[in-house]
Amino acid sequence: MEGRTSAHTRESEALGTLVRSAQNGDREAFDALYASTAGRVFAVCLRLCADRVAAERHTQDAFVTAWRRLGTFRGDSLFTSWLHRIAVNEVLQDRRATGRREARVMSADDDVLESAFARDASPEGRIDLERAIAMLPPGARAALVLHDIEGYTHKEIGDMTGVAAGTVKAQLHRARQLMQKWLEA
Amino acid sequence: MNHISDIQLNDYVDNDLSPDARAAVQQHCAECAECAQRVERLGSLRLRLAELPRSIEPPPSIHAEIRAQLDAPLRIPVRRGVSRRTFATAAVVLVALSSATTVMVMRSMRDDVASPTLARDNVPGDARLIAVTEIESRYISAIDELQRALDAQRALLAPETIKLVESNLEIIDRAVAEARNALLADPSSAVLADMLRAGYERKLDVLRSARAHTVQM
Repeated sequence: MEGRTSAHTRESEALGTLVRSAQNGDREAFDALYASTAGRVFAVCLRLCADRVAAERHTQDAFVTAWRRLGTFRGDSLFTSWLHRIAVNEVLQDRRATGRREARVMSADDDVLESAFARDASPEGRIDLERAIAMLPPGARAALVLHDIEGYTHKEIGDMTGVAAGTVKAQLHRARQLMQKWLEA
Repeated sequence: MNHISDIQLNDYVDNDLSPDARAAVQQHCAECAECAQRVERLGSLRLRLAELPRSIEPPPSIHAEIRAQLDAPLRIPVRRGVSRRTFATAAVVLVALSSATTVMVMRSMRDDVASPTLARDNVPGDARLIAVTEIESRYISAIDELQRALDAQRALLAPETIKLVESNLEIIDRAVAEARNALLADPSSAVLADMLRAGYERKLDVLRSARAHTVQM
């Protein structure tokens, strides 16, 4: 346990050094930050979007935004948490904009999507975990990914998605219920 | 027998129940095989989700794309077609801005000489960035927002205007970087702080002017 903690501290210190260099305009340091953190950023984007091309675009945008805003990072939180938040916001902002556009033409909501997914969900009776996450309606998927995989609280997710913590909780329960139904079919 | 509700079940696996409520669920599950199984199934799902890899390697092309975007002074692709009026107006705006900035910096330099400066010694290492970040926090999001808005309207700008705006932004970015580095080395300097502010103001004004042209068109 102690070994793991000191390894974690060393990793945080190494990232801190890279962040300070990058804040002074050192692009190589920023490249090293990318190498250390891109996997986690891409993972959360991919799971939130359920779309590989969109996830690649959001990962790019998140790092470009991070570079531009690096001067505002004061080290009050971990750099990885700060960067993660940027990536999640990129996805959610895009989803809100896309949602507004789609709402005008097809009035899709989670119920419609859910029943559509349910029809195609599991022709062979079993589906894997990642596929089940990708099939969740967007609101439920965001709640599940951010809470059960990324470890955000209901309130933090509510702040990010612009809904009440109680709504996040309801979406999370619904997501779990759907996951269980699909995985155990 | 009343079974545990879905809310209780989820709160239980999330460890969100009070000790008493938690004990009540455990007591119920000891007597109810159906609820015990519900708890086990949901707990198992939670565990599987928590064990998913937190990192997925992105394709290498992403890094190259990011580097290309960071190297680009302004992400405005060139549109075919020329607007002499826009080009001329943008040039006038930039000249006016340069003059205004010079006046602003010169005035701040006079103020700096006239007023006592803060003690320059004993500035804590971590506090050095504060002077810079306090200034930048006021400008970065506005600049970012304008750049995005400009990107969205890029097709409305003539190539000459884009070229002019880009080359001026490059000059401003260099000046900002110099002022920033100087302020990091000497965080108590009011002159350097004003120079950095002036640089950002100038960048904002150039972006605003370019944006205004797209709106007028």
